[in-house]
Parts: sequence; structure tokens; C-alpha cells
Amino acid sequence: MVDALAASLIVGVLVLAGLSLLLTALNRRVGRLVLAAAAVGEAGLLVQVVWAIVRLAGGARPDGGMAVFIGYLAGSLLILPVAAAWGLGERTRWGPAVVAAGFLVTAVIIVRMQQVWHG
Amino acid sequence: MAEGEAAEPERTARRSGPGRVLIAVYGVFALAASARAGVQIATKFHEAPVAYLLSAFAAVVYIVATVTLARSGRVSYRIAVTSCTIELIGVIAVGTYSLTDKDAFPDATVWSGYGNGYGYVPLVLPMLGLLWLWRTRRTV
Repeated sequence: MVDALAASLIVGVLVLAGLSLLLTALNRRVGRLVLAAAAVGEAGLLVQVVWAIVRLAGGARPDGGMAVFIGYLAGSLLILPVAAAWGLGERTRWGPAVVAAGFLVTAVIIVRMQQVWHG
Repeated sequence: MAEGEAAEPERTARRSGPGRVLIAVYGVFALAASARAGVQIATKFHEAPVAYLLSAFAAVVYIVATVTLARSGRVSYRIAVTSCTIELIGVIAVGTYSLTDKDAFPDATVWSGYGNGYGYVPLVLPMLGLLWLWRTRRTV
């Protein structure tokens, strides 16, 4: 994996988690801002998935095992859409908090993907 | 927050507000624990059958807790309380046991070391779950 891409993604989703928590603190519901943040995060993750597929197609293999890596790769795309939908269903300040949790989990997944890739 | 809860329709109170976040985190753990147990049992079950079966058991408890926290009704409430209690006992028992007898857990489970591999979230989560269930007990 490209470590620089993963590192920027981690910083990015952490910033977006902070933004979502700020909206919770400001007593805001999930609106366009949070949904846009989730979309931006998801786009970054898609770039990572495409890059991983390119690397795997080129013969590179994750040291920590292919099945585990693919699992995290698929899981990384799943979290934010589900968190956004679940947060959108909550019409209080806790909606953005759900999305913030999604961003934090995404950060952990990216870290784990790095660990699995490097063995 | 108490006012907001009171304003919620009773049938959805448990999955509203902070409960929404709680269920989200439980869902993540249900998914993560199931995936981990699945991979462990499928690829290297013979290495540590007890630890991997424990992983699978933890995964089932997380799934049950997630579903029953999200559902309304008295039965779901009781099952949710039971699952959170099992989790709390499990994480404390396995955490203590994994520290005293490392040979029994050659590979970590979600509850090993009080969940230190998962930022101690497995230890905090059942406490928050029970706290939330207690706070919403009147809305069952």
C-alpha cells in the first residue's frame, strides 16, 4: 500500500471525525455538511481500494494474509455509508456523533490494513 | 438530554440519542468479532481452539446485544441486559485469565487483556450498555 495515501486518509478521517463531533457539540443534526464529509471520506477510501486492487493485480501480496486484507478492504467501504444512514435516522445532535464514530472506526481500519499489508 | 428522551416516542427511545451511537459501536464490534472469529476458525482452528471458540462466542454475544438494543420491547430489553452482563463478565474473566495464564491464549481474542487490542472498548462498551439500559428502563 502507499503509506502516504494511508497516512493522509487517516489524518483526513480524523479531521472529519472532529468536524462531526463539533456539530454534535453545537447541537446540530445530520445535514448536508456531515453527508458531504462522509462522501469525501468514502471517495478517499475508494481511491485506496482502487490502488490496492492495482497493486494486487500487479502481483504484490499483503504479508498478513490475503483474506484478512480483502476483508478490511471491503469493510472500509462499508462503514461510512452505514454510519451516514444510521446517523441520518437520528434527528438530534447524536446523528453527527454516529458519523463521527464511523470516521474513527474507518481510521482504525486503515491502520489495521497497513499492519496487515506489512505483515 | 432527559427532556429529549421524554419527548421521544416510547417505542424508539432505546435507539435514540446516545443509544444511537452505542448501537453503532456495538454493530462494529459484532461485525469485527464475527469476521475475526470466522478467519481464525477457517484458517488456523487447530492452533488455539479454545481462544477461537471464545472469539466466536463473543461475536454472537455482540450480535445479540446489537439487535436487542436496537429493538423495542420488554423481551429485547431483558436479552440486551443479559448480553451486556455476559460481555462484562466475559471481558473481566478472560482479561484476568489471559494475563495470568498466557499459554491458554496463544492468540488474542477480543476480550484478552481486558480488550487492550481494541483500545479497551470491549471493557467500556458493556458498562455503557448497561448504563444506557438502566436510564431507558421506564420506556420499555
